[in-house]
Amino acid sequence: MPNEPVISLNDVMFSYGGPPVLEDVSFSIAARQAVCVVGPNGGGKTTLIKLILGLLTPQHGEVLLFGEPPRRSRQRIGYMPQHAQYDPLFPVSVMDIVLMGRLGQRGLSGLTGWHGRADRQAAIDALDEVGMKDFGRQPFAALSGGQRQRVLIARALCCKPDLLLLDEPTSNVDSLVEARLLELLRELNQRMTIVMVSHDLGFVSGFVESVICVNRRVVVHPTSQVSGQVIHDLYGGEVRMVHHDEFSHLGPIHD
Amino acid sequence: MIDFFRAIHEAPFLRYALIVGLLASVSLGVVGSYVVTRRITYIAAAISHCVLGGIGAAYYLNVAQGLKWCDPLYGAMAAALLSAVIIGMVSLYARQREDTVISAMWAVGMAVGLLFFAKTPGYVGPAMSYLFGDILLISAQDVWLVAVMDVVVVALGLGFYPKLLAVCFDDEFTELRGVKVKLYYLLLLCLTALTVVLLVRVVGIVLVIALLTLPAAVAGHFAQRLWQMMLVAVLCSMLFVTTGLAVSYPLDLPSGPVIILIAGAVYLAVALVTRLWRRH
Repeated sequence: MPNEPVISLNDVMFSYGGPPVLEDVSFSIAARQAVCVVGPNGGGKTTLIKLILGLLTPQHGEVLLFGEPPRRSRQRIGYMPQHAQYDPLFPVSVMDIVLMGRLGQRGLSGLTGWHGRADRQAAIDALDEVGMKDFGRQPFAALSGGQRQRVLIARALCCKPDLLLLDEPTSNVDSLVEARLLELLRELNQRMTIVMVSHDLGFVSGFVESVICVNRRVVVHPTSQVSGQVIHDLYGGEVRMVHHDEFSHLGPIHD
Repeated sequence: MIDFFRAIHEAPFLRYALIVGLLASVSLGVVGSYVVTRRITYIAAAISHCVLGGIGAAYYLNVAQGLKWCDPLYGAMAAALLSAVIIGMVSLYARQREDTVISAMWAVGMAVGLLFFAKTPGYVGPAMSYLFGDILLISAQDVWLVAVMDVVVVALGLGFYPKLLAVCFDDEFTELRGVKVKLYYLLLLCLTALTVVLLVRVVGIVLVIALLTLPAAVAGHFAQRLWQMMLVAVLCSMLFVTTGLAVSYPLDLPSGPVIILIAGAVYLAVALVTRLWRRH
C-alpha cells in the first residue's frame, strides 16, 4: 500500500503509573512528509517518540508504524538520539558507531554482529552523505557537538531507513551548523519521511510541512497556520520566533 | 627478583598462582573493559560477593556431608551464574530502588555463605581464604579448571564484541536494530561472574572487583577504542599479578592485598600524571 501512513496513532493514552502523560492522541503522518514535534519540557515529547519506537506500550489505543506494531517494523526507522546522553570518555571510533547501524541482520554475522565489506561500504557512504567521510578513524570523544550530531545521523542513515526520527538535532550546535543540518535534512527528505523533535521552531519553519504540538494532548498544525497564538497556547507564554532565512545562501553540506 | 624466579621453579603453589593470575588477566582485561564502560562495577561487586553463598554451600557439602566431588569452586561457579541472572533481572526490571535490592542481595549472599561455614566442623580459616584469597590452596586441578573457564569467557567476550560494544555504548539504539539487548546484558553479567570465580583462589571475592576494574580504568586513560582498552588492561593486569606475587612472596605477605595495592597505586599515579599532563 503506497499510501498507507508511515506513523498512525489512534486514541493513545500513556502514563508511567501516575496521571496520564499523553491522552486522546490521534494523528497520522504520510510518507515523505517532514514534521516537527514541539512542546514544553515534560509535555510528553520523549514519551511520544518512545511510543513510536515501540520502547513503550500505550495503556490505551494503538500505535502503528508502517501499518504494523512498532516492534515488528521499527528496523525501518533510522533513529538519532540526543548526543549529550553519551559518556564522553567512551573509547569508540566514529566508524565503530556508524557500523552499529548495520546490526540486527540475519545469518551468522548477524548473530555475533561482526561486519563485512558491504557493511563498511554502507558506513563510509553514510559518513560521506553527512560530510564526515574523513573522520572514520577519529575517536568520538574528540569531535565537536555538531560533528557528533552528524555522526549520529550517519549511523541512522546506515540503517537504510524509510523514516528518519531525530531527537533535538539542533541542541548545542551553533547557527551555522544548524543551517547546514537543515540543508542535509532537506536533501534526505527527498527519499524518506522525517520526524524531528525540536525546541527551535524557527529552525524548521521553512522546511517542515506540519508541526505536532505536544503538551499532554497532541495537536497537529500545518506549518503555515502556526501563529503566535498557537505557540502562546502551547507554551503558556511568549516565545520569540527567529527565522533563519539568512543562512539559506550557505549551500549544501558537502564542501 | 632472582629469588622469585627460583621460587617459581621450586614452589608449585607459587607457579600455579602465577599461571592462574596470567590466565585470568586475559578475562579480566576483556570483561573488565565492558564493565567499566557500561558503568556496572557496582553490579559486578554485588555478584562477586554473592559468590560466597555458593562457596559456603559447596564447602559444607564437601566437608560436613562428605560429598568429595563437590569442590567449592563448583559452588562458586553455580552461585556466580545464578546471582548474575537474578541481579541482572533486578537491574533490568526493577524500576525503582534497584540499588536497594542489589545491596540487600549482596549482603544476603554473604550471610548464607558465612552460615554454611559456621555449620561446617573445623577451623574458620577457609572462609577467610575465599574472601581474600590464599595462593597456598591452589591445586593443579584448579589450574586446569581456570584454563577452561578462561577460554570460554574470552571466546564469548570477543566473539560477540560488536554487539557487546553496541550494548555498552547505546543499548536503546541497539535494541531498535532488533538485537536482544537484555540477553546480551545478562551474557555480560554471566561473563563477569565467571571472571570473578577465576580469581577466587588468588585474590578472593572481596578484592577481585578491584582487579576487574582498575586495569581497565588505567587502560581507559590511553585507549581510543574498546579493543585497545582491553589489550592494555590485559597487560596491566598481568603486570599487577606478577609484581604482586613477586613482592609478597619474599616478604611473606598475603598476595591478594599486595596485588590490589599495586593496582591501586598504579591507577592513582596514572590518573594524577594524566591530569597534570593535560594542565600543561
